[in-house]
Amino acid sequence: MAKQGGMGFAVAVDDAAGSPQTISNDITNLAYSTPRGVQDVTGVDKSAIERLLLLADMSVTLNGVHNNAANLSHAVFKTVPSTSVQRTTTLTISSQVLAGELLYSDYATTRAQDASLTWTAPGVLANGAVPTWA
Amino acid sequence: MPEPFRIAPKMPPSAYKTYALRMPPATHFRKATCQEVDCRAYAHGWVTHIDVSTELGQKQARYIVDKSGRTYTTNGAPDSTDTRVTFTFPPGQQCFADHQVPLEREPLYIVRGGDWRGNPRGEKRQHVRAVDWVEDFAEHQAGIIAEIEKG
Repeated sequence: MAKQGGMGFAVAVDDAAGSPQTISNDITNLAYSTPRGVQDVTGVDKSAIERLLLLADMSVTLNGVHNNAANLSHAVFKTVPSTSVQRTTTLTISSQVLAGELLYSDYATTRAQDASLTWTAPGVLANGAVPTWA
Repeated sequence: MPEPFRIAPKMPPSAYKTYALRMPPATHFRKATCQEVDCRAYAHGWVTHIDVSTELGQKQARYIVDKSGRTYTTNGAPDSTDTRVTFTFPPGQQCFADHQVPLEREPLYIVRGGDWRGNPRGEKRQHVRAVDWVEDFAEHQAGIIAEIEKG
């Protein structure tokens, strides 16, 4: 693979109508938490490792700056409290794409003392399919 | 920032691994002028109401008059019934907000143990290149799928 930089990663999240909206420019930080492959559950009575397969749970946290322009972050997430929809969330970086169906449980906006207006939107995996890179 | 409402994960933090892209304001943003961010106050002017009966209001009014260097008009001196002073700022000057724009810098590519609840194993590493972070992430996801398919 040729050398390349990672600038220009893209995040797209469905709005309430199911239309993907690219909101990368509003997002400053994001984190995907996924289970480790297996859990070590070896008891003290065992002489070899015992492991359990873990459910493939996943959670996502998007953090960004408030933007109420059309089709940007506020337009996408303002419907979190009023609608019950799975939102396809896509992360594109270096031509690689990770997509998952997520339920967002909050759209928390904070106005800090320094006048910055930022938001956090946590999501969890909704449909039982492990998001994979393609 | 207070914690948002989250649906509790099924497993303890030790069972999770987090892949994060971070752009901390201190290192990935710079101050910007009103023109750079299409500031409405810059384009149309703005009005600031200050209550000079309070100590804070007096300090704010002093700052606008003595130090801000902005052009303004006021509604005149306050009287005993109304202690508010209205400063009207015409367009075309920097407003009082701190605007920021992102620097064209790569985000920090972080891989750590745990999730938002904590990192009990204390695992943390940082990739320099996006491709390495993606590869690490992809291998991890492939490992989970392989475990599920084994049954």
